[in-house]
Amino acid sequence: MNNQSSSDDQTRQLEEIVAYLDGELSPQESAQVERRLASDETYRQKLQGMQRAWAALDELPAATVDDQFAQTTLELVVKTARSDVEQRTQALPVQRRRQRISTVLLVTAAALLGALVFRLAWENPNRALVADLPIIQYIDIYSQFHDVEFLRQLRQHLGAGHWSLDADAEQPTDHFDQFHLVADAEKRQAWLDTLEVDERVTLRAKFNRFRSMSEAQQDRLRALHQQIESEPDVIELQQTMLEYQQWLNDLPPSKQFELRETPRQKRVQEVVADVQSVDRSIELTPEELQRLFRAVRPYLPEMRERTRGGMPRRVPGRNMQDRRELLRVVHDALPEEKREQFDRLTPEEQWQHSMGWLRQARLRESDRRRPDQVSEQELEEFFVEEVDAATKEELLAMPRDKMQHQLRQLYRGNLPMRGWGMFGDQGERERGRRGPPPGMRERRGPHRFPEGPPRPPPGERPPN
Amino acid sequence: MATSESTAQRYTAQDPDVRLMLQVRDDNAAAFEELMQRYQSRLVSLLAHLVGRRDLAEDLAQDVFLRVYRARKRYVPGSKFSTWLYTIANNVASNARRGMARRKEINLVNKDSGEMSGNPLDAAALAASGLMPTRQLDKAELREIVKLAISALNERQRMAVLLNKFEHLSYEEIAEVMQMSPSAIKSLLSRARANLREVLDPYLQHGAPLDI
Repeated sequence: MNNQSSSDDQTRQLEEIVAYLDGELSPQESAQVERRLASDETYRQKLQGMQRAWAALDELPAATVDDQFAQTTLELVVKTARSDVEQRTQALPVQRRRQRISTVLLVTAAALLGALVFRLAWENPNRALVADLPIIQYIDIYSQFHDVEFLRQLRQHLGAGHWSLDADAEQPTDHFDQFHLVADAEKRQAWLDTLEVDERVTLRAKFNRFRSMSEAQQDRLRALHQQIESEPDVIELQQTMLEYQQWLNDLPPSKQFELRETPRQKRVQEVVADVQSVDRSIELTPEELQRLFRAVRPYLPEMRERTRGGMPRRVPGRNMQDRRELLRVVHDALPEEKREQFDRLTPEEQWQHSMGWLRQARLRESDRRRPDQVSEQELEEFFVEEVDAATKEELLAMPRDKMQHQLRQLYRGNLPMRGWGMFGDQGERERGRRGPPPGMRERRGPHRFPEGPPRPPPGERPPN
Repeated sequence: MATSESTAQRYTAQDPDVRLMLQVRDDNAAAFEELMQRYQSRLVSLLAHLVGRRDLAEDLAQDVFLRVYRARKRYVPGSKFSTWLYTIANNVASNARRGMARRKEINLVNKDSGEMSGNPLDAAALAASGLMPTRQLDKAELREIVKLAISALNERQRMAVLLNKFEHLSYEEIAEVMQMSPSAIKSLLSRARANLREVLDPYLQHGAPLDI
């Protein structure tokens, strides 16, 4: 009896762990599992074992099939369709049967012809596909704006920099090189020949989309492409167009549609406002934080010594030197991918990130040593180094106990600061442009990390 | 079960593949070809893991597409297109396995005979191989071990795992494909994953060099 009940418990536990990993539990059930994970080592080990085995399945080889498979299947389909028609019509009287056979064969032949024409277009790309390749390959972006002036205004406001900080995004130079291969009539064929099966499928889908457009729409896209090519600032316009495309890729289709329908001037304003408000935060994993803290720790006592002495004071020359030194050490301690993101930040943002990371690392360290305790010294340093001017002002106006409590909450990240930055005036200045315009977007960004992965979107391809 | 109009509208709006299939219903050959292009590799992969033979998997995938084409006039969007396609694939694979069993053909994937249906000697060797601490975890070797672990699952577990892992279907969708209840899928997947862990984890934990 007991054995049976224990086995049932085991089964329930197993199902619970698997459903948790698959994201199939309710929020309450997930919270229960997480509490148990925090306190039950055996349970955690079971879950980790499941995760490891599940991740190992990525090693299973994925099959790819070539165009030959599609061709054979199509031929098979046509053959079967014909034989189905013959079978179905055998029972009919001769007169009606002949009539029916001829009608259905005509339909089948038309479908076959459609497929063959399509295949011819693919196999002999010197026809429609190659002629319109730049527009077909970049149909998403060409469909998103109506005139060259839009690109020019974006360029004026946003300059030549890379808009997106998404580490997964294609490098702008790669993107631009590819555009030129596609745009160059002499190099298109060679580019087509290098495409993988998946890329050809995507191109084929775009080709179908282009062909489903009206003649007038197709002509509009062709004219837009030609117009850009003929402008004196063609390079800048194309770069801006590609940047705009990458930026748009992060928006949901509904928002892309909305933007497409917005008048040019207002659209430019919205895009500029959003690009400038991109969340440029970089998050570090616990291991990366620890590595960073180890690298920076030797420098801290000396710096602390120089800034000690009560309330915040700024000694520009020396502090700037310390700051540069610290930023260099932080830079060197970062993993390569995050180092690149770090390099793209302004010096103020770099400093802000560095202080935030050090605080997180100290917090983790102090939690490890003395849970729920933060030393007065740490709080003081935090107040001096990281709290922005507006928040300081508010804190200093509070009774001492309340101030300490609030400061601890801020330190642990449980409360937001008034200004985002930590440089007093700089924080105040920055505050105005932080945060996206209402309803603008949920952006993908460099701060996505693989902890507790959500379910991948349905319909994605299996790993290769 | 009849599909309500609102359900059909919802799936048509949400799933671009459903929209393509509706074009196929209207005899659009290009739409059919595009659907094939989108799914052929995934389908062949799935079937190859199910039946254990690449050539057979390609034949079965062609059969699946043929059935899709034949069923086009009756098609009503009552679910995601992928769910409908994999339901057909599941039936085709099951029929093929039954046919092979009748003809007593050799199947590279192990026969079903319970929870862990693989050759117990293979599984024991596999587990033991992972217990040697000095062994290096080689990519190709790991791939073989994983293939063996997958093939050691019974047919239903294997199908559920493949749909869950590679096609990212929810329990409800897998239940629809396999004509089972979502709770049955929950138990099926938990047993399958426990079996995978049992075979793979010793290897993964001890087969690789320690990360110091």
